[in-house]
Amino acid sequence: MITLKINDIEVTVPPGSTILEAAERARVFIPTLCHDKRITPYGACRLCVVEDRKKPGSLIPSCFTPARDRMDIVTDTPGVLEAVRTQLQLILVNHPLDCPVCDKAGECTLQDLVIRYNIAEAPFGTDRFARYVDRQSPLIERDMTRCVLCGRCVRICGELQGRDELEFIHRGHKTVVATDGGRALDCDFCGLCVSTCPVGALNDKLFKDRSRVWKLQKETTVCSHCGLGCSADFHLEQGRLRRVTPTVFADGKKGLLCARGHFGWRAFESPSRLSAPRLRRDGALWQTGWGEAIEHAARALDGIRRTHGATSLALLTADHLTTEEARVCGSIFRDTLGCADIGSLQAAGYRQILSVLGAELGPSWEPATVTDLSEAEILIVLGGGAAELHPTLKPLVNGLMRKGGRELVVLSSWPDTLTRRATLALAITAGYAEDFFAELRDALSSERTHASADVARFGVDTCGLARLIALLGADRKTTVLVAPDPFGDNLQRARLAALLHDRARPILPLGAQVNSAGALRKAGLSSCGAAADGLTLIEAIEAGRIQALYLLGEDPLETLPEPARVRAALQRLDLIVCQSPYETAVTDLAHVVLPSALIPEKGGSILSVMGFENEIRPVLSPFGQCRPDREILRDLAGALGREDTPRIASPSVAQEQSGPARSAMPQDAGHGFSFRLTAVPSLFGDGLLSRQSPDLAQIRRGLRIVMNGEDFEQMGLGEREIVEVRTPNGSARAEAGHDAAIPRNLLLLRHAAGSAAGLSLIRPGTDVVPAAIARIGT
Amino acid sequence: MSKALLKGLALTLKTFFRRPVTVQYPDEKRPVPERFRGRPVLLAREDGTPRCVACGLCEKICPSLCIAVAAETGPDGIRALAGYTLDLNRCAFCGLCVEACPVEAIAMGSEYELAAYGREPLVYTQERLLAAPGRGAAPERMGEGKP
Ligand code: SF4
Ligand code: SF4
Ligand code: SF4
Ligand code: SF4
Ligand code: SF4
Ligand code: FES
Repeated sequence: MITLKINDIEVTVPPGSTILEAAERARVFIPTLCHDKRITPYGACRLCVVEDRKKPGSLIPSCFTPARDRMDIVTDTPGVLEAVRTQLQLILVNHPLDCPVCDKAGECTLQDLVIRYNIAEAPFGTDRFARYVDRQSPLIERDMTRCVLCGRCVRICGELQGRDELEFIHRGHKTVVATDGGRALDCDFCGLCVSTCPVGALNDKLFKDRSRVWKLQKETTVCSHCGLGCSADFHLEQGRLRRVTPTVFADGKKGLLCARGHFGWRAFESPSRLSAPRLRRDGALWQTGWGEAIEHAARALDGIRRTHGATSLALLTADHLTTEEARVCGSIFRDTLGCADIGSLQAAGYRQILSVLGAELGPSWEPATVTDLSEAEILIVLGGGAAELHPTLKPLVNGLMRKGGRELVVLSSWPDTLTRRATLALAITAGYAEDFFAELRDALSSERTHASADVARFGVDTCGLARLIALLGADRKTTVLVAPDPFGDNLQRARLAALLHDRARPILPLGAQVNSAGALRKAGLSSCGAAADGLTLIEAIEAGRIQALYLLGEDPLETLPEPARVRAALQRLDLIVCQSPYETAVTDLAHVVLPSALIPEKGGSILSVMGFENEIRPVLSPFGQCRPDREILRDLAGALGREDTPRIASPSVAQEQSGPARSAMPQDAGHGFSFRLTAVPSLFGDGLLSRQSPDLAQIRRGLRIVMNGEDFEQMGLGEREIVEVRTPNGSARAEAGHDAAIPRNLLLLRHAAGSAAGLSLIRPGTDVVPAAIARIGT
Repeated sequence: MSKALLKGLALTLKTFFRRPVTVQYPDEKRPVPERFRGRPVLLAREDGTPRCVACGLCEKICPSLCIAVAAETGPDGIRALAGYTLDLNRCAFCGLCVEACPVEAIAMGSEYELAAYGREPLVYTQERLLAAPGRGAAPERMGEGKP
């Protein structure tokens, strides 16, 4: 421990702390401009200077100077104050007087410091050099006239987001922050640069000119776009949401958010929000009152159950229920109605992995926590798309990797975000990931040391594999992340994870929706029966076993492959109840529509994938006549009670562990299909909520197809050209892009969820289909 | 006794031939002094558009909470005024809004005849608050109220 004095206050700090951190502990203010606790100190602004009494006259930048024992620091000598004032005046030489029209006013570090140090004159004049303003980029405005060149955006984009989208260009007084070639932003849109900019140079376009910061009321809550449950600050002006920013924690450190969390909030006020209950009468949906809608739903459910038995009812949940609501839901559907087909489409992979792990490891098993992640020396990711499913994992992992001495192993059949950061990336031939995981499991469990020869046929580099096996043998803290495939099977990777856990490694299943973890681990609303998987559900409907479908925010038409087949199946049903916040494709087929509230509009507990329990309270008022799911379910239970429904326990349906028959690679390859296509998760969210945001839609830019750069050139495609993609199943138009990391002849399909054309390309039960591309008009 | 009476009569006689000081309000009006604080007015640029840049500082400082400023992004991409409302029902004529304005877009006008038949007409919108270009500013004010 180091003991030093700051303005005569004695403090003790751990070794490695900076003088700034020591001053914080002593509650002494030191001005900073280029410092953000999330990134490494840089020393660009020199506002944080202090003096050591033992070395009078020399100014020390405190943000990156380590504290040493018995230092005697003073922060307010005339020399220090003079230096700070001069420094501020020098910054103002190039800073416009934009405060009245700048959205940062009121929370601007420069403004605060100029007022604090009482700078009223400009001795160096204001010789301004014209700099560019970028108003073209989506979601983020860059006004470089206001930039103070602190480099925070450049560093956070490179260090944490790993994107390196922003860079300093030019020299001397012409220096500006820009993208390469000065183009508009085309990046992850994580908004971290906006969150770190100390002045109004980087602005959130959704907030720009809408309000003023002093009119906002801040509510800390949880992002509901995925199951990571990042802490988010909602800023409200008289009850209306104006912006969302990363939470500032008690120690002054800001949190992390991704594009969905930062810019996806207008989904809460989307025009497709359902505002009143509807009932189908004479073939059309009519608006009705809550009482009638719920009575009708209860009567219809009860009728079907009486005529066709309890096995004719299936429930799909988007896992946007709070834990309490999921419990109520379980008690109604499982215990009262005897429903034995419960599942989720959007969180199917997560649910499958969790149930396999639960079955293999026993009930006492607990998933990894955030500590397991941050303390791990080796991170192993099974499956691609971990950071696409939960984008904040990317800065989180980048932050960990920056500390050095850690290994990141990614086993994926496509080059996802984490692959690029991996110290050991094992690429598996697309379509063979599950087979490879099964093989690897066999090899590891039978202690075969020469496993590499067997698995090489999956395209995996044998040297890399040998290193992985060596790493597994090493006695180092290891955490395993399991990322599900959006449309394929996940059984083998879950079993492999279970095997790896036997060596006392924490396992973190990914791919959860906002409260999947709570529904499964706290409320016990786990998947069962045919509904555990989209394909088996459709088969059960086609076979006539399932007659009624209760949808809690799910939409099979927007989530499952082969929408035409799904539509035909859904049309066979006697009853579809949509209890959803949004009007989606399936609403038109519904018999009863019950508008439900979104997570920020209700209160309750939410469990994140990393096991963090959040108690949230409502921060937004419910939209239209929407009601929280717990109220709807409670009334439904009441109405069912009046129907005098006898309680029956769910018939014990044999748990189908294996799922439907799946083929690794369809046999009909060839026939002019020179590519293989695999659908991958999107950074901008495939979930119901993310798809409803107009702003995320703007950066998703519809269906996209990404291929190897050489393939791209060979076809003579132009940047962002719209091409026709064909598979044996269907065809669609998509924007073409390229990426050198993608193997040749592989196509990555992005943003298929929510797009009927995109979903028609893929085939259920397999993750790879043969495909061909054609230019439009040729 | 007669001395006092004569004194009074002399005064009457003296004022009898002076010009009367009574202002025949409302037929006649007195000019308002330069620093008079009448109804706040929004000042206009040469082209008749409001000078206001919608910074919201007047709204923030107003002790009676009578100002509401709405902003939008102007055609040049910079913050612009979308709507300005001032509720005279609540205005205390304190002039703090004028002090706060960084671009001299609001001034205390000379209008003081503000009675109305209800509360509604006293909620002034941007159109009614906006003075003609070149008018409403302090220097021109002296002459305005002259009969
Ligand atoms: S939004 Fe994120 S990825 Fe894009 S420039 Fe900013 S920090 Fe970089
Ligand atoms: S844009 Fe903002 S964060 Fe980036 S260098 Fe300029 S002032 Fe710093
Ligand atoms: S990672 Fe998930 S929870 Fe975190 S901000 Fe993004 S969508 Fe929200
Ligand atoms: S004069 Fe005073 S009370 Fe009236 S609007 Fe201005 S600040 Fe508000
Ligand atoms: S202070 Fe001035 S510029 Fe700002 S909103 Fe009020 S009138 Fe407009
Ligand atoms: S905060 Fe230390 S140099 Fe900028």
